[in-house]
Amino acid sequence: MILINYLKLALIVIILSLPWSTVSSLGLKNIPPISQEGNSFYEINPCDVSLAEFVLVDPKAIYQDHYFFRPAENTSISCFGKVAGVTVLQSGIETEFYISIGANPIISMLLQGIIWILLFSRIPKNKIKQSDTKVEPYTNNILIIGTAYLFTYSIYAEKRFYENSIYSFNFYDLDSYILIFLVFLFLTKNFIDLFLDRTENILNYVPFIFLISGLFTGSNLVFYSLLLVYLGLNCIFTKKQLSKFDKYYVFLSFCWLFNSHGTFFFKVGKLRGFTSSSYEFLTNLYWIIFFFLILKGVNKLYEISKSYFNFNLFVKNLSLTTVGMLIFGFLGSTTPLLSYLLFFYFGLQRYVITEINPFLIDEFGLKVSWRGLFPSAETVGEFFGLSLLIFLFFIIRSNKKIEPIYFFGIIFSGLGLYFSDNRTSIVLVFLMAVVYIFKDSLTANKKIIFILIFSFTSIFLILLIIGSSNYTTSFEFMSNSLYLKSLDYQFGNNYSSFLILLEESKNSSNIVYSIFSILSTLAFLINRSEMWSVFFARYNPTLFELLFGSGPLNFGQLYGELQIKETSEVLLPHSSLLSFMVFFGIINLIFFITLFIYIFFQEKNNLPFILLFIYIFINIVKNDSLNYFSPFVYYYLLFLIFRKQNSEKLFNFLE
Amino acid sequence: MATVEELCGEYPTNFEKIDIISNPKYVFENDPNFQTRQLYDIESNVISVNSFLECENYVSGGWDYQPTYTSEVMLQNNLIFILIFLIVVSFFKKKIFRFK
Repeated sequence: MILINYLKLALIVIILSLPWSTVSSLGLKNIPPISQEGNSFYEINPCDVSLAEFVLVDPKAIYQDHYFFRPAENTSISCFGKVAGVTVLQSGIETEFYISIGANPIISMLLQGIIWILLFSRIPKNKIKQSDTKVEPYTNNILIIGTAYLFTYSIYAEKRFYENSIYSFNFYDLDSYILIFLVFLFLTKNFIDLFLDRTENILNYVPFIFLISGLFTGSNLVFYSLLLVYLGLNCIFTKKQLSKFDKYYVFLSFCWLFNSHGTFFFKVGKLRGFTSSSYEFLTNLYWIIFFFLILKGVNKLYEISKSYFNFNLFVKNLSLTTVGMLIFGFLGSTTPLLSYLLFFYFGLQRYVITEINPFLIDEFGLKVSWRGLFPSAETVGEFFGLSLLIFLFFIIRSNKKIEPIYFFGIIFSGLGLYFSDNRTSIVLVFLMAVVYIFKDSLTANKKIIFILIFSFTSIFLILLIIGSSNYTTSFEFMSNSLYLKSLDYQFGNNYSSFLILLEESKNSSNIVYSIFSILSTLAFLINRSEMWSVFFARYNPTLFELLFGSGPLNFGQLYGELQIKETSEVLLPHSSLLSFMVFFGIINLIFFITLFIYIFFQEKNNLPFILLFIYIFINIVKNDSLNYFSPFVYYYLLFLIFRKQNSEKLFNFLE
Repeated sequence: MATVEELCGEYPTNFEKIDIISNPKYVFENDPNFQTRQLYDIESNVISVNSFLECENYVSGGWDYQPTYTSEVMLQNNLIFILIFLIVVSFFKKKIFRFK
C-alpha cells in the first residue's frame, strides 16, 4: 500500500514537471533571455525552448510582474510546454513580455485529466462496497462509452470554437474524432472506476470544486461534468419510467430545437465550461442533453452519498478550500510563472488576477475588488460569504471542540469577502449572523427590542449600500431609468422586440410596464441599471422564446442576433434570473420562483435553510453566479443537503 | 497550402486591408489579443506574426506552408495506439490483476 502511494506521488511529480522540462538541441548557452530590443531568436526557433530552459536562462520571468505566460492552444503536440512565441508590448513606461507556451488541447486534456484523477484518488474509499449505482458492469461500460461519445459530440457540435484551438484537426472528417473519443473514454473510465469506490465521501469533498475548477485548457468542458453526465445517464438507465419533469423537459427540448433558426456565436470568456459557444441546431442539441444530464447527475450524486454526508468533514474541506483559494490567489498574483501553472493545473477559466495588493483603494477612496483565482470577484465574494454562514451554523450547533482549521476557514473567508468587495454579501452575512445567533437566545420581551434594533440596522445598512446620492432621486426617474437607458443602447433603428413590447405597454399604461417599473427601480437601487439596460436592449425574443426560452446555457442568440451600440466589454446580464429567462422563458422562470417560494414556506422552521437561500436568492438576482459551473453545482447540492427532511440528520449528529 | 483563415483565424470585424507592399517602411503593431502564430514558406523558413494584419499580409505573400502538419498527424496516430493500449488495460485491469 505504501509502495502504491509512493508510486502515485512519483507519477504526480513526473506529470507535473515533465511536460515543461524537455531539453532542446540548442543548448542552454545558446538561448538568449528575452529583451525589449528584439526577440528574433524565438521567432526563428519557435517550439524549441522548453519552459524550464526559458526560466533557467531568464529567472526574472518567474517573479517580475511584467512577464505574462499565456497558453498557445493552436500549437502542435510536439510544441507542448515549449515557448511558441514572444510578444513585446509597451504599456506606458513599462515593457510587457507575453510568452506563449504551447498548450495543445488534446495533450492538455490528457495531462490535466490524469492529474485530477490522481488527486481524486486521494478521497478515502468506501468502507463497505456499495451498489447504489445499480448497474451491471456491462451496462456500466456502455454508460462510460455513452459519456465519452457525448463529449466527443460536443467537439463536433462546437467546431467553430475548437477550430481556433485544436491544431491540424480536420473537423469535417469523422475519423479525426477517434482520437478525441479515446481521450474521453480513457479519462471517463478511470474517473468512474475511482468514483465507484468512493461514493460515500464525494459530497464531503464538494467545496474543492471552487479551488480546482477543472476546466480543460483550450476547451469548453469541465472535468467534473464527465462524472455528472455519467451519473445522469445512470439515472436514466436505472429508472423504470420518466418523471413529470423529464416529460416536460423532453417537450421543451423539441420546442427549443424546432425553434433553433440561424447561427449566432458567443465568446464564452470566463463562463467557459458551462455555456454554449454558438446558437445553432447541433450545439443546442448538445447543451440541451448536457444540461439535463447535469441536473440528473447532481440529483443522483446526492442520492448516492447523502447517507454518508459528514458535516464536520464538509466544513473542514470548506476551510481548506477557502484557505487555498486565498493563498494560491495571492501567490499567483505575485508570481507570473506560478500564475500560469495554476491556470493549467487548477483548470481556471481566467488567469489569476495580476493585482498584488488585495487591500487596494482607488483614487476615489473606493475598495478595488480582488478576485484571486476565481474568474469573478462578485461570485467569489458570494462564495466566501456563504462559507462564513456555513461556519457559523456549524460552530453554533456543534458541541465538539472546534479545531484550528475552522478558525483559519473563518478568517480566510472573512478576508476573501472583504477583498472581493461584494458589499451585498457583507451586509447579508452580517444580518443573517445576527438573526441566527440571537433567534433562540432571547426572551419574548427582549425579542421585540431585538426586532426593532435589527430592523433599524438593516434599513441603515441597505441605505448605505444604495448610496447617499440616490436618496433624492424621484421614483418616476428610477422607474423609467431602465427603459430609457435601454433605448440609449439601441443601434440605429434596431429595436429589440422586448423594447417594442415595453413601448406599447407604456403607451397603453398596462400591467407589463408597471411590473417593469418595479424592476427598473430595483435595478437603480442596486446599481444594475447599466447592465440590465444593455441586456434589455439586446433581448429580442419571439413570443415563443419569451414564454419558453431558447434553450439552456445558450447566450449565442442574445449576443449575436441584434446589433446594439458598442459597450466597453461584453457585458453579461449580471443576473442569473435574467440569464434563466433567456434560457427557459418567463413561464418557466415564474414556475421556478413559485416553487422556490413554496419550498421556502415549507421549510419556514428550518432557519439555516431559510437564511442560506435568502442569501443565495438575493445574490443570484444581481449576479451571474449560476452561469458558472462550480457555483451552479455547489448551490444545487447545498439546496438538497439543507432541506429539512435532509438536514435533520445533518444537524442531529451535532447535538 | 492553407487559407488566411486557416492560418490566422477569422477576419476581425472592421478589418481593413492596408497596401503594405507599396510602403516598405511599414511597421506592424502588435495586437495583445492576437495569439502569436508561426508561418512557414516553401523552404521551411519560419516567421512569427503578432497581429492579424501581419499574418494576413504574410500568408497572402506565400508564407502558407505547413511543414509540421505531417509530423502532427503522425504524433496523433501514435497517441491513438497508446490510448487504445491504456484503455484496454483500464477495462480489463481487474481481470489482469486477478490473473496475476
